Amino acid sequence: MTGWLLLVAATAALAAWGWRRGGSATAYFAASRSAGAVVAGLAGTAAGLSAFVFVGGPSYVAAAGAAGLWIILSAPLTGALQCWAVGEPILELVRRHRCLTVPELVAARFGGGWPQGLAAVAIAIGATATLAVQVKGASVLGSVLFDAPGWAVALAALAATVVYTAAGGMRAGLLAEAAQGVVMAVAAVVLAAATLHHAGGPRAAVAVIAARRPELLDPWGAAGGTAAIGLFLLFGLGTCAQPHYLQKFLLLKDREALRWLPLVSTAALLAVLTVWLGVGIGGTALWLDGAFELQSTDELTAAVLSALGKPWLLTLALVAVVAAIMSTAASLLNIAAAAITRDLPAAVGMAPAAGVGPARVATVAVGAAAATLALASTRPVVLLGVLGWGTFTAALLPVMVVGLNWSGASRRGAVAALAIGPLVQLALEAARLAGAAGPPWEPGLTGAAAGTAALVLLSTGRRPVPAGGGA
Amino acid sequence: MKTAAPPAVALALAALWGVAEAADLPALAAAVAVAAIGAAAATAIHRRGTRRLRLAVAALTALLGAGLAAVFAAPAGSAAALGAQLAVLVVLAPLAPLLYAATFAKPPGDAP
Repeated sequence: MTGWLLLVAATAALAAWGWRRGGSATAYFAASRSAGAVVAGLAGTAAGLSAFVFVGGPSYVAAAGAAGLWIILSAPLTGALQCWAVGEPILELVRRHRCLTVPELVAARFGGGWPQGLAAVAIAIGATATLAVQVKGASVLGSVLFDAPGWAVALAALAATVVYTAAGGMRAGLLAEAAQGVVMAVAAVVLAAATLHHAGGPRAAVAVIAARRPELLDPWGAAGGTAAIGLFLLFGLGTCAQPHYLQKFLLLKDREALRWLPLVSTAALLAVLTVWLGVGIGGTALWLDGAFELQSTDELTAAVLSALGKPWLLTLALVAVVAAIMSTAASLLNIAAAAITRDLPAAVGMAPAAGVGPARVATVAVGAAAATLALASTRPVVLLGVLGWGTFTAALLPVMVVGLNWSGASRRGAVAALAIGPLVQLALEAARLAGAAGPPWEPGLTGAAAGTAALVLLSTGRRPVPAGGGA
Repeated sequence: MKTAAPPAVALALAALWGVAEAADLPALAAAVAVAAIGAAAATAIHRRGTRRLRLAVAALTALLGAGLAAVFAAPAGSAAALGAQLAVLVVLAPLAPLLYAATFAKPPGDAP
């Protein structure tokens, strides 16, 4: 009860602070461009990592062994890769066009209308679906980790996030995300260290796995090598196409902040991902050594926390999980509200909604839609999560990485890429669900590949739109 | 990026990725993955192609390729593959962001 009261008090304070400072569009959608490398790096990491890291990640290692590490293996590269491939061109577009949203970047590069509209539709739908994953994940976690009904935990975390995000937009959300990133990093390192210590250290844990289930050391797993590399590439290149990551470049106060952004974000990312490795490997060793029994590997984190027998560790895990849910939700709410109230009207030739009032209403509406979708959906959380990441990758990777960097990219090619990428991805997802496509196919990457081909082929021979601002 | 080479590389990588998936060729998939990450990082070279930046991107791409090759080369069911995976994390985690900072170039008049 004390924790919930603290959550309510902190939410009210943050909402009041944000309400006073989030009155302009630049404040509401771009945090008044106030972020330096440390704040943006922490906030970006917190926004990008969901509660899945604390529960689904270790469970994935227990189920798939070393094959479960491919998702995080690109993590050391992603900070620098983002800045090289998309961060620098985004900052140039911001300098010239004062863009506040990712679809505005697309419009600045390829012109308004269809490019901006398609990007906004992809973001509005993808963000709402990804937000629903957070809610659904929270409801599962709530019933596993919290002594409360799962849906109540999920709705409480979402409602708190909606309140301060609706009130203050990213002006409030940015600082909250940075603080939540610190909490997640500290909790992850402590949980990983405690688990590995309990398992006798990393070498002993690996030795137990090698002795009891050597097949878990197979780096490719049951899905095979192509599927494993597909996950590696999806989460490596895909970071250049996630709008809640790209949004952080729009919040930077100057280009100099880029210099140390990869160092901060990589350090924070690796710190949080220690829980994937530490609880994954240590917890699997404890499980195989008989320290506890599992009905399903999904129960691994909860079982480890119980085996460690320290109530403060459980509290730390709960706080970290709530922080992870809220940080991701805040960014998604904000980019969806921006797409609905700024980008879609602009794409059809209307003036963007005046003030931030409509964006506040849209934030609440997106939160309600996501909650409804999550509580009504029967699809597994992991499937929904990969689907969201893949949709953003398929839709935005070609125009962000190739389109922002190649002056020959045409408006026609960009429109085709924005439409074909997600269509191919969704068709492949449907085929996989129907059993018509096997594990080697990674829908998000295949969609991005199709979109890239469309962008390049349809741009060849066309009059180029100069990189860095064509509209 | 004004030459035809980078989009041609992107097109080739997209096609090769499709081949790797269709034929289920893990080694080709890994080669495409390393090349795609290298090509994405190399977009910065076309904006500000300093020698240091070229070396940094080449070094990271080569190290990533070596790491994935080590995973492929490890005996099945041994801890060596896991060791190679962890080595990729340990080596590249400090190196990539530090190389970015070391090769960062601030153009004149950059206030957004």
